[in-house]
Amino acid sequence: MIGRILRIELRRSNARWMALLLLPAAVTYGEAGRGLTVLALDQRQSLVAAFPLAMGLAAWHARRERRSRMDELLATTARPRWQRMLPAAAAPAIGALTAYLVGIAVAFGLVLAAGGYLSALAAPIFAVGALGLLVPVALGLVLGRWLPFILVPPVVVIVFFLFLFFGDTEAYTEGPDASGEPPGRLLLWIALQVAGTPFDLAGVTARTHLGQVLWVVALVAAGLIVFASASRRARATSILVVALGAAAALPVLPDRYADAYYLDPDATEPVCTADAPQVCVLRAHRRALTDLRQPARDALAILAAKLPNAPTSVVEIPDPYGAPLPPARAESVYIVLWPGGDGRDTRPAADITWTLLAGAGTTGCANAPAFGTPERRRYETARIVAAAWLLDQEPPAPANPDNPALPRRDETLPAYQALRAWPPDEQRARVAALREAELTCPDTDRLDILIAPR
Amino acid sequence: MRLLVLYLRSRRVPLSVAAAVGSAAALWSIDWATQHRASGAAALLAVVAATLAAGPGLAGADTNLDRTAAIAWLPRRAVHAVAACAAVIAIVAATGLGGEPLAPTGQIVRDAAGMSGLLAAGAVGLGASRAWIPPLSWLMLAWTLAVADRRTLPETALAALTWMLQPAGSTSAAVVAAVLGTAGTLGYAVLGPRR
Repeated sequence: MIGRILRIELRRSNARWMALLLLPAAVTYGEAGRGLTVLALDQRQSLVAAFPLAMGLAAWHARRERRSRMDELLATTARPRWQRMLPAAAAPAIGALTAYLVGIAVAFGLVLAAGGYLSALAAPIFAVGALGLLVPVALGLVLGRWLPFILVPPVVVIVFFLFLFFGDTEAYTEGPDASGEPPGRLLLWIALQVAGTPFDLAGVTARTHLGQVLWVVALVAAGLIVFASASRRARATSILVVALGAAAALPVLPDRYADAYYLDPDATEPVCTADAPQVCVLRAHRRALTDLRQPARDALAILAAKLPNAPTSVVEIPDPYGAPLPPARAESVYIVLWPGGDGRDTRPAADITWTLLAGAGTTGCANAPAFGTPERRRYETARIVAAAWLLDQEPPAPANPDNPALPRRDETLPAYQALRAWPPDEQRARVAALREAELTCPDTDRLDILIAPR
Repeated sequence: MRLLVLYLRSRRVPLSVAAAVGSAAALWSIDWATQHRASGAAALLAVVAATLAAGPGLAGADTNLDRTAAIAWLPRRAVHAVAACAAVIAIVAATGLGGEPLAPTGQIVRDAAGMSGLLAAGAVGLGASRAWIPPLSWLMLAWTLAVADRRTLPETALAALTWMLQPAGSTSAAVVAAVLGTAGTLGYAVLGPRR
């Protein structure tokens, strides 16, 4: 019986409209080459825009009985209200989920076509998003039942848009009241979104998923209780359900918004070339191996020809996003890749070689002088001059001339010429000493190592 | 004069005006309370809310009965649509009387024209009570595109799709809004609301 009602509901209600109108927000056609997790998190973000419309359409759906002045007549039937109303509630939910499933299928196909990394960790992100989409549907049904006026659906949409514009994490990171650190409870905010991380290597922690699921299930259940029950007492229990959901979800969530993520160990596993010298990238960036292979081998050959104890491999490390890079090791050169929308590195090969050879094949020390100080400029200058010496080229102008942190050409060129003024053996010994200093990280001035008279 | 009053009452215009003024005032005070953090968004939402409030008035209580009347509906519908758009502009621009206006007048005019056109098209295609769906759907589409800004669309196409979120001087946004406004109003004037 319920199945038959549901079939009729799907045919005769605005479920199809719901599916069609939510499609633009559900379909993500972003940077497929960077992997499925990126698209899954993109979709979670853009899905927020679908929430107001889903809520308005559900409210429209719920006010139809009152609109046709049937509510009193139908209340006299023997069948309990919830048996009629649950299929009626299922129709818009199925419509919304259809749009969402199409979005997932498109994302999957795009990543497959682009050869991006298909992370299994995207599956729970999609699943929680699908559950989250039921929240506006349930809340819209409630509003449509209790306020069955013609202007209510559009007003609902507008008010919800207001929440979107004024209720995001930017209030915590920008503006005069910024505390800089969004708290974890924001993960329960309407968006249920998780954003602002090294996406392509990130997984969302199980605690975050669990907290969001508990909260969403409580909201949907409360909405359905209010929409489908006939007695006032049954409707009052919905308050209890919401309170229970919040009480269960809040302790489970991480304390800080940023802790919703962790580095996915599968995505960061190294994928290496079969033949020596070894060049390794992270599995999520394996398409960029093509871009790294040749510059990496050039850099290793130069280091082997010009310096003692040269490294033998190039290894990609995850971008630490502002934190210091891990200390360099003698046997490998570390690099951070910048994969673009197609999964390939966005820099020309020559730039990659320069980056690899900076500081004679080292990543820089954690105890280096702070950014913006004159000591830091000398430090960076020394690293660039070492790369220039290895490549036998004059140091280039900084990649971004407006960035005041980068050493200017009138700083690097005199230093380079000063290094070149020494006899060849002395030059080699000084660059080798710089490499040694960058590996062991003593607290000395690096530019002095290269050019100061001894 | 008496006919005009009766017409306005039959289209529930007092209620629509009250809703439009109320939403504009509410958005202006939210914008004021949040120290103008998102004035552009508040202006856009005020325009959209005021436009949607005009939606139910695009058809009378009985569309079929209206059509049997021996009066020229075409100019009346045209005047109704244009006057509704002008009222939206006036109401939202009037927030400037309370100090800072929410947005430059050009932007309010552009958004009101485009949204009114979409609303009129919705009344023609879906009926007056569902006329809110096209404007809000386009707003959602634009918001989706703006949130995820790493899309692979050409610049002009993106500006045209997100016309209501563009800054006041954008030509392609103005063109899209003008086309939507003209086409929607013409379509509504000629075809009338869906039966």
